[in-house]
Amino acid sequence: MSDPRFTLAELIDLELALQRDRETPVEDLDTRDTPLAQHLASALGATGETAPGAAKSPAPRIALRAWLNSVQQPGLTSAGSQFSELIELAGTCLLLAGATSGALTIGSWLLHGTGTPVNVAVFWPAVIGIQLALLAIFGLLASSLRCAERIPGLRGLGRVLTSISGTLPWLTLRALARLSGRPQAEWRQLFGELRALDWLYRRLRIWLMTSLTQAFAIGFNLGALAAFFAIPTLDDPAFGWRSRLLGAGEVHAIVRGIALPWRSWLPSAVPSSAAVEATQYSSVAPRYAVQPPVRRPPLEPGDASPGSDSDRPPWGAWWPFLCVSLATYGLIPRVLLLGLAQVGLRRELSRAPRAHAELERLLARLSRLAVDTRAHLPEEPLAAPSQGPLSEGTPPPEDPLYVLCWAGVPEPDAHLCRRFESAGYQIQHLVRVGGVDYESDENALRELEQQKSNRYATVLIVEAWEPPVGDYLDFVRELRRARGDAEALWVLLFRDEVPSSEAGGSERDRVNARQWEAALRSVGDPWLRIGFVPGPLV
Amino acid sequence: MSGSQPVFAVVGRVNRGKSSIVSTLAADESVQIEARPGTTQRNREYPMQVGDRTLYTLVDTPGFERARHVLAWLRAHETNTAERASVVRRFVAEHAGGGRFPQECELLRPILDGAAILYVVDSSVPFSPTYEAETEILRWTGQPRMALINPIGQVDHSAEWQSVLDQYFSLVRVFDAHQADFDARIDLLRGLREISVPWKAALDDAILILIQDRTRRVRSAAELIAETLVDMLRAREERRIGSEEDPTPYREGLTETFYAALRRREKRLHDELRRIFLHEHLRVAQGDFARVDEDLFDTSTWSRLGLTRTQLAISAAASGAILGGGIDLMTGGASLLAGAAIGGAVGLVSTLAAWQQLAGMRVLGSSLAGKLLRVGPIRDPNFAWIVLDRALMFHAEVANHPHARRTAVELSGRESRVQQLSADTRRTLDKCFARIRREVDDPAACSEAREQLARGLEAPLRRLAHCADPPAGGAQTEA
Repeated sequence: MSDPRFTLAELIDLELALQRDRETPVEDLDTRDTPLAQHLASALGATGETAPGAAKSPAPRIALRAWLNSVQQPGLTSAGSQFSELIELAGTCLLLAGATSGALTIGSWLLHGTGTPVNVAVFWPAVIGIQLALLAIFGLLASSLRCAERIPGLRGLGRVLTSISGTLPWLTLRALARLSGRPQAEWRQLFGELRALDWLYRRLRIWLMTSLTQAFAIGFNLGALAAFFAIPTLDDPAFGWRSRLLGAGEVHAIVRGIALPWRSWLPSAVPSSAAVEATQYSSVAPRYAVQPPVRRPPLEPGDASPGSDSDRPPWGAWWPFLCVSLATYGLIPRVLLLGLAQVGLRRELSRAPRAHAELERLLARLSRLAVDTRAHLPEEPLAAPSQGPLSEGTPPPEDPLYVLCWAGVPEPDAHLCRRFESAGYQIQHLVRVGGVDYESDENALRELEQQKSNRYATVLIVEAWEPPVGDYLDFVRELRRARGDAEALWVLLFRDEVPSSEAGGSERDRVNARQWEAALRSVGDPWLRIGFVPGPLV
Repeated sequence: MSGSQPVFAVVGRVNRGKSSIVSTLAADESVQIEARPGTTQRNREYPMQVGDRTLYTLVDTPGFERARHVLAWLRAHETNTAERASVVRRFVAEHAGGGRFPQECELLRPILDGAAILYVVDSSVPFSPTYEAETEILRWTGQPRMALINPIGQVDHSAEWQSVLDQYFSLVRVFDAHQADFDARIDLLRGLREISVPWKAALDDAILILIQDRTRRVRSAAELIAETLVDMLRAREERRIGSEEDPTPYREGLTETFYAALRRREKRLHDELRRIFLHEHLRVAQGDFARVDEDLFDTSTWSRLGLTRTQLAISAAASGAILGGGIDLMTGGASLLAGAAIGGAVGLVSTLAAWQQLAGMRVLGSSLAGKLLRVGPIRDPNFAWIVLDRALMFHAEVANHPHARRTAVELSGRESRVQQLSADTRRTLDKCFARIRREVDDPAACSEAREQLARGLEAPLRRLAHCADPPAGGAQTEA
């Protein structure tokens, strides 16, 4: 499966969504992302999953793109898309603004009305030279950043230049954002969030800003060149030079040096030494010429002679030189830098997203299948405990006891009898019930029914530690049926340890007693009594 | 049975800890565990799912209520021994949909559908003949059976139970649902493989995936702890005031805000650790640790947590000496190891000087824009170790706390965990802490340090969570 790089819009949307996830509880994130992880896993499973129940990790960007689609609101233009559109619009605006400013700069310079020629010695450095200098500093900082940062002052200068060059695109973006339909508060939030990502995507931001600034620069140079071509058609601007320190020979040597890239194949765009000499002028001399025209040497072949009048200095000889200079040192490097910025931008986008904690957590969520061992359905609520009648107490000592003892009571019958006797009771009958064989219960109940007319206190002894399950409660009901109504029935809990005092008892005893009380209340028998087996363990 | 997924019905008498065992095995704290009998009235399934695949299912069932009556019915309808399972089936068919045996019908249904049996008894009560009815009914079903002796109370009748249950069950194990850690869960699953050979492969997969999942959870815990440490070491609180204003009245409020933010951050970590180990409702006892929790910055408790002063001093001196040794190397030994000695001394002195020094307020800048008051970050080298110690303690508790145990976690009086770390681990972590303190304003450097911290913490956290190294091939499920 191919894993194409992110677009700027996708990257911004992804990082913004991840930033917002920081505030979301982990459980909610798991719940939200698990279906997508399962979907991704089953898509991969169809193409050959092998490990037992294991998920094969999907390509990160495919998974992230799918995740982004799942968390974004459908039908709404995302913040990333809006920002991306803003960037494109800003690029166009900056290109146009650059072209306008280039045309105006050159136009005003060439058409200024002082009556003196354009001083090439100032014009070239101001229009072309400064661009070259900035480009050189940028190149130094960008190409070998670590070395450049060690040069004293260069790092600071680089920061100043970066912030200055970044100002224009940011101002443009902000101005355009103001004109967009999106609320300003949202833009402010978006810009703030993007600033917070700078530590991850500084290089991407630099290439992006470089693209925008180069759009302006290219526009500037195109506008300047357009002005250069347009104005001589309508006017006759004169170009000359003057300098207190440089002579014509030195200026010519500099000019030949500057023209090195094109002088071999475009000699007409290099002013000859005679033209250089002839176009020197002084601000104080009449008619601007330093020497009388009669002593002016003949022009060399290829010199662009401005007119037929050989007495006039070749004021136009500098024009092709300046045009080609502007194209060579102004336009072409900017176009190259724009191309480089685009390559850098694509490279950064191909490396994106950069690893950070939130992204790693998201990838972990997406690349594994959630292992869940818990129940899917909620448990039914507990029923309220029964509130039926029940009294506490022990049988009156004067009545003989008819004792039915549950099979699980681990006390021999003889011991039980002695225990009751020690508490002042007399046991008339003691039979075991609750054995595996249910017939013993039926026999005991039949026998009890036959004794119905005799005066007995009927006692059922059960294991206190056993839960009062339906088996016991059924037997109590059967007991009532066998004994008849309006006769007290005692359920005595047998505990395997006796407390030091009658009032006392372990926590376990109290819990057991509460359970039995609750269960016996559910029988709804008003003559039912509950208590503990009296007397000490034998 | 071989073609179907493994299903285990957890059965037994009412209130004998079936739900506790299910809660621990399924790591599910939603299971109602009450001293009141008959809490479970309906079967509840706990499938172990990986994506849309179910590896096995536990079924919590209602307890036996009238086992003797059921057995009496079965015996009354028995025609021959070979058809006992069909008699049980007839019983369920005849009594389903109400009547006298709703619990028995409910608990027998998954067994008749092919589930293996996990019969739970409580070894704190003695065996009595009435249990025979239950074991006999289960034997009639003909399904694979394993008995679990659950020691609920202090009294122990497990030997007695063992000798009886051996007669009815192919495997008998003691499993304390209130103490069982992850290893005990895995051991029990391994036991289940033995009673149901056709399900062995599925259970092997389940064990493998559970171990991988455990490793992943521990890794997530390591990342969270590392992230918290970075956040807390970088934390600061700032306030801008007028250039002529006196900063003194702001000191207390700003410091308290700073500490409150750190406490909230630590609490967030604890909440996230709870979620990772599926203990969202786990309570922490209000013991000594809670008092520390209320005041993370009470230095009187620091002597118990974090590294000792000696450990810190040695660590700092060693780091300083290594740096100074670099200078000695550059001079080709001409400095006569003075670099190492000076570096060590500087490290030692700076650590001792910063000992128990909490955040103080600093006043930055005094320009036209006003003064900037700043509290934090905390420079004391032991602070990171204190936070880490508390995180490790909390992690150890939540990672090993059985889901059946509903009592609060008691953290007071626990031994320091960081003091027990190996020297190598301490050195690695200390380097990360030092880097964060040094490059506190560089998010990229701190991000790298966080990654190193997470990697360094993974092994100690795995040991604390009793989490073995994942088996070969386990990496496939990891991110």
